[in-house]
Formats: sequence, structure tokens, C-alpha cells
Amino acid sequence: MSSRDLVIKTLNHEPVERAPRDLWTLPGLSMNRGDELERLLAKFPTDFAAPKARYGHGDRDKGEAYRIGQYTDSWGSVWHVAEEGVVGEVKGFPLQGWSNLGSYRPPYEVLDNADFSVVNKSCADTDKFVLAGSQARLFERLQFLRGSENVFIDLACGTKELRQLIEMVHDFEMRDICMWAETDVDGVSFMDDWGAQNSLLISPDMWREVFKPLYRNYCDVLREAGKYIFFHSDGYIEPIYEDLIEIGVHAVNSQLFCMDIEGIGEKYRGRVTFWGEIDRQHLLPFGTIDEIRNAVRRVRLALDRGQGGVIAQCEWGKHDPYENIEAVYDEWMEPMDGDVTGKCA
Amino acid sequence: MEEILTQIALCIERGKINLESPYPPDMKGQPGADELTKQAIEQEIAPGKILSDALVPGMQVVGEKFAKGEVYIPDLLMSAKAMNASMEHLKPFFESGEVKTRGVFIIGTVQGDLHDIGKNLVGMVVKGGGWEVIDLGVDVSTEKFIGALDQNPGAAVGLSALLTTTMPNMENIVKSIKEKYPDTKVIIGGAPINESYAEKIGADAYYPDPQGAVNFLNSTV
Repeated sequence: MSSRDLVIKTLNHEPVERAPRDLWTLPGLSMNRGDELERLLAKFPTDFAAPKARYGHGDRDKGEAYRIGQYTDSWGSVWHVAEEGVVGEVKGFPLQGWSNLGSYRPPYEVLDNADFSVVNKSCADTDKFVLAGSQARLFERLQFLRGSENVFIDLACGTKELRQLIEMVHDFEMRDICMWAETDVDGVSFMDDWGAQNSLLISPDMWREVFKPLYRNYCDVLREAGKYIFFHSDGYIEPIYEDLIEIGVHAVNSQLFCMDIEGIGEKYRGRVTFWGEIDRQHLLPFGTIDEIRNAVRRVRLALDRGQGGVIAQCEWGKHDPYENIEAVYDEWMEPMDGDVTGKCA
Repeated sequence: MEEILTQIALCIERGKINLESPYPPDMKGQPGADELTKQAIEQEIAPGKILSDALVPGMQVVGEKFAKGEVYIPDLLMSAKAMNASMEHLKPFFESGEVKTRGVFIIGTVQGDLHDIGKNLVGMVVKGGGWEVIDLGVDVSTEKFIGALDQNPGAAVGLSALLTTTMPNMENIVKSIKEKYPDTKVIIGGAPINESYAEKIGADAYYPDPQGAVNFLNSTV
């Protein structure tokens, strides 16, 4: 069975011979530990591929990302980086005050000058599942433009300026989503971080009122085009899982270990595909191999039960030991050692 | 408690800043913490009483609700803004020494880490708990924390980290503080932090929410 078929069967909740593999790496890893990355991928190849595509250069782009210092992204947000190989934090906000809102324009040149000419060929040339990472990250973009505290206050007060900004960012993201919908990629992902460690950042009601309809727009376009839809959020997002399923998301990547994994399995198994993961805040950087293997078994028992519906994914952080990441994928290859009706062996 | 103090506490709990503020919608058109605190001072209610019987309980209620997941960051921020509006009227009394804080709390995000929203929320709620908060910002070195302690003997310290890569820096800072000022209470927090890590690095406490930090600090005085 090809990697593509393996992923598609998993997304359709059909039994598979093994869980498909996906590996995320933080920038610092490929910058400094390329050999280890190569070694792991040789042993456990992933079943996903990125399409060959290039977005255009932004007029506001300045500096080099992930290097100590600062750089400016195509939206004009200024990122500060204090540690090599880390994404950094936005500290310069182009719309911190509203006075520039009237003249502000999203970086459409990034889309206008995007080169998608070989996307379809790159899809045809691989038997892997081709997943495109879209630019859509609406809530985060608002924060990068305004500053997080300002956005939270805008949301509380329901300002008309925020509504205008949301519309502007959403229009941009819709255009990007539509561009991907017209290609031959198998799936498209979008993201936003909605969770703190043990709750949502905003109330579920506010999320449903302000953001869910806009997410639904993304999903409608992609569903119409026959694409599989992948969504990522950091943090505790259990209260919006049901909503994500309702609007048509096929696969969710969330920090399972912030939540009740078994409870999530009970409620959502068979209705959405779990796109990983294994605890990257404690276990992957600091855990023992036994702890990591136990964590994988726990995820499998709660979410997979030998019936598919889970993608074996984890994120390899800058200092996470090679052996820990290897243990994740190795354990996914082991036979299930638990009674799939729920009792551990 | 005087009726006006109850009203101020409610404004802070609900995040009603002033008359013009549209938030919360069900209090639209009503005076907020700003106007009511001014009135309370004009009615010659002791500023210390306004702090202890209105501002502190108001923030405590919202802090506890936040810890229980009953309110969210926008609500907490609006409460902090309402509290700041009240505090502006109390400022002269703090400066003259007529009103005293419970103590000094030095807070910062550890070296290498630039995340600040969690740290800011803790600072706001601790301030609302009646503490003077000295915010050293983000990417704060050991030397800067020690320097702040040199200038504020007896202060408690709060350290924040969001990245797993900066957790070792947190450990180094805690060790340096404890080496020079063994009696200093150090609280740590941040997404990857937990109680066992606090124990491991010799911090006095870890709390997953700002109100927990306030309760701990209050227990130390």
C-alpha cells in the first residue's frame, strides 16, 4: 500500500497495517542536527510530502528568520529571536494603534507572485500524501499585527476596528486557501493556537461567534475541492473539538497530553483523525525511553485501538534526544499490547 | 462594607473600567471602577480600605474564576484594566506612604525566552492582590534578578518560561537567587513547568494560574 493510500485510509477511519508517520521539526533541529534527522528519516520514512511551491517575496520582508536578532515578516510584524533556531516572538506590531488601519494592506504580493507551477507535478511524482501548509492562521495573525493583549481586549469590547481587521485577514487567507484548492494536493492544513495549558484562551462561545464561521469558510472551499483538511492548535482545545468536526476538519493536531486523552478517545474516536502527538513539553525533551514508549501505548490504546484513525506524529524540538524520537516511531511499529476493549494487558 | 466598595469590587470583577466603556455589555452606561473610586475617596473612605475591601476582593473573585476555567483571558484583562483605573486614584496615597502594599514581587521571563503574556497576567493579578509588582520584562538575566533583589530586600520573585529550551536558565536563576538570598521565596510558572520541576530546581512553588501565586504570596506575610 502506498503512503498516500495509508494516510487516506487513516483519514477515512479504515483499518491500516500501521499508522502513517509524520514528523515535525523545529528550525533549530535542521539547522544544527541535520545528520540525526537524516538518520531517523532513513529508518522511519514519513508518509507525508510537501508540495513544491514557493510564495512570493513580501515587500516588508527584512532580515533572516530563526537567527538571533530580529526580522520582519511580510505583514510587517517584527520578530525578536533570543535563541538560535527558535521562531521567536513578535515585538513590533504594525497595527498596535488603529491609526494605520485605513492604509494597511495585507501582503498580497506574496500570493500574486507565488509560484505554484510545479505543484501538480510534484503531487504526481510522489506516492506520499501531499499536504500543503496554508498561510491561514487568523487568530495568531491578529495577534502578530495588534499584540495579544490588544486583541483580547478588542474581542471583549467587540470593536468595529477589530471586525474590519478580521475581515481583511480572512479575505487574504481565503484567497490562499482557494489557490491550494485548485491544485492536486491531497490535503491542506491551517492553524491557530487556541489553548492555554488547561483551558481555551477565549470562551468557547466567543470562539463560536467570531471565529468558527470563518473557519467554516475555509473548510467549505476545501471540502468542495475534495481536499482533506488538517488543523493544528497548541494547548487545551477539547471544548472546540466537536465544532472542528462539525465544520469539516478531517484531522486535528493538538496537545493531547494537556487533555484527557482517554476522554477524547471516547468522544471523538472514529469521527476525526488524531494527527499525533506525543508530549513535547515534558516527555520528548526530558522523558526516559520507557516513559515515551508508555506514552505511545497510551495514545494507541485510547485513540487507535488497532482500528486506525491516528497519525503517528511528534514534534522534534531543538534539544530533544534522538533516542526519544526514535522510540516514538519504533513503538508505533510494535504490536498492540493492550486489550483493545479498554483493559491494559 | 460600604455599598460603594461593593460596587467597585463588582466593577473590577466584571471588568467595568469607566462610564464610557462598552464592556461588559450588561453594565453599559453605568459608572465604572474609575468614577466609583474617585467618589469613594471624595466620601473620605480610607484609601487603604478601598484597596483591601474593594480592589483586592474584586480581583480575587475574577482570579479564582479564571483558575476554575469559568472566565478567560479577555475577562481577566478587562478586570486588570478596571483595577488599574482604580489604582490611578490611589497612587498618591501609595506615594505618600498612607497606603502600604503587602510586599514586593519581582517578576520576569527568564533569559532566552521572550514570551510575556503569561507573565503579564500573573503580574496584573498579583498587583490586584495588593502587592507592588516590579516587572523586569522578558529575556531577564540572573544578574538582573539579583540586582532587583539587591534593591528590594525581602521581595519575592516570580520566574516565567514558555520554552523547554529555556527551562535550564530558570534552574540557574533559581539557584543563584537561593545562593545569595536563601530566604527569598521563588515562584515559577509557564506552560512546560510543573510542580515536580519546581521541586527539582529548588523553587518554593509552582502555580498553573495567577491566583495561586497570589494566595501563596499572601501566605508568606
